[in-house]
Amino acid sequence: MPDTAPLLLVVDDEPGMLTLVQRFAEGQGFDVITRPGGYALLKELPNLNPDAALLDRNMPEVGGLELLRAISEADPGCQVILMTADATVDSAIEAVKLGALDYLSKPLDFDRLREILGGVRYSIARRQRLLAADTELASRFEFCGMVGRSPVMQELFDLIRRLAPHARTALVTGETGTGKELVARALHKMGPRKDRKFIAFNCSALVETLAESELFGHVRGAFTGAVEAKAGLFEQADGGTLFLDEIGELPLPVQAKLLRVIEYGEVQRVGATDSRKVDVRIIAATNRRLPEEVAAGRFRQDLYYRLNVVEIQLAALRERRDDIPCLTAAFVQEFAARFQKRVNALSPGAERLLHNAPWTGNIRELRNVIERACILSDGRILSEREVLAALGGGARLAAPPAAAASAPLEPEDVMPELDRGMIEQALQQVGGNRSAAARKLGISRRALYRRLDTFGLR
Amino acid sequence: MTPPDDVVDSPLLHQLKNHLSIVIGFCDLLLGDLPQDDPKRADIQEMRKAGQAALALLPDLSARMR
Repeated sequence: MPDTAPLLLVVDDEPGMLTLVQRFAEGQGFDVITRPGGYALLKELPNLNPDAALLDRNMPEVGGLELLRAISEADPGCQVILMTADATVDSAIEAVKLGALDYLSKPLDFDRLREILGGVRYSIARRQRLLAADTELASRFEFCGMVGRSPVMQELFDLIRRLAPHARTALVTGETGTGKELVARALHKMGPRKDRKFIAFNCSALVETLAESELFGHVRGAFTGAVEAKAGLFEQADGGTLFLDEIGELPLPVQAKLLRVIEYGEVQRVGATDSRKVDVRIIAATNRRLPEEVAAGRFRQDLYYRLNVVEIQLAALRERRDDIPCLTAAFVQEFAARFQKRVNALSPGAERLLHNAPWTGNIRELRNVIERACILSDGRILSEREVLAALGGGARLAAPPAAAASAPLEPEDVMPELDRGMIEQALQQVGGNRSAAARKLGISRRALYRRLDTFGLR
Repeated sequence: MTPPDDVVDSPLLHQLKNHLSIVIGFCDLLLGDLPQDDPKRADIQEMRKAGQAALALLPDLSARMR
């Protein structure tokens, strides 16, 4: 990161002062942009993204204090220093109250300015080192595309290593966005079938008849449109692994056929009279509570028992918040590279927001938030404002295509686990604004109102 | 209103102080750049001293203008 010198914005209506400070600050290792101030600067401000700013207090059009306010609003992470020819105690107090880092009188005391700029440089370098350290950690604790140094994740990786060589069927459960497909892929990659096919299928994506022909194939003329015989996914995955996501959505008749494949290793194409042998490892996943589905008569009990011989439960992100920094670092690195951004650090405020968010959409949501924040960012440090905008932008928008396949459900269905506390917390964080709270929780406003009624919060 | 230690109460004086600050600032910059044994240092020191002296006159000037 040595190629990224911190950026200092210097604003003064006196050109000589601009040259003077520029010469000095460049000698201190800063990139410097100078502006004479005025309304034009206010307009330009959101695109400048300085790490620090040195502002003259007395300027025509827009004064230093007003500019300070505008800068703090645009980027709370930017450190602002004011300078003035007529320093008074009152004006200094006012500036510091508004968030100024320091207040210098003219003529400038270069020793003092050197100290202040040194402090700014140090704090930026520190933030960069923090993220670099978290990125380091993320790569050290990476396992088949999953990142986690928390004990639950380490146990999970261990479990996968132990199960992968043996398990014929497995059930992966966990909330939406916890990485069920990644676990399935890891089981495949660590197992004896790693060189064979891994096919993923989302059980909720297709209507019953189509799902059936997709999974088991069909013979020519089995139904209107079946002009050619077609092998189903089970046959295609023969010798490999078939991942059945959202297994809870599978229609009952198809469940019966699936059970047959698991028990006898035989598939029957739709319309066929004979069956074929297949050898497929089946990994099913769901964010539903299957025992409840069984009790409600929506899921076959025998199939459930067949599947849950090996059950892998994934923890929600809010239960392993210690992993948020490394996950964040890994995603920042990924998206900064993809969008060619300079981001290589997070502001303390941004870190706090990410650590405390409810993360109802779990890691997928975190990933989407970081992606959006990186798109919004132009500076080196991902700011509180960018993260807030990304969080508020609706956690469900812009799911990456790879993940989208496993999240087709309406959020109200997939988040029965939103409890009273989380809703209260979300409401509190947005100052009681219900639309904003719903966005934050990743549910529709109607769904939020329904829950408010349920919990008697209305 | 309590008079601050360093009164500059007219735009004119304010500007004067700004200009002197630039003179002194560039002197400081040059002094920082030049090696300790450079003969030009003494000249720059003189310029700086004169600037400081002018700066020191400002409170008086301000009092007379009242």
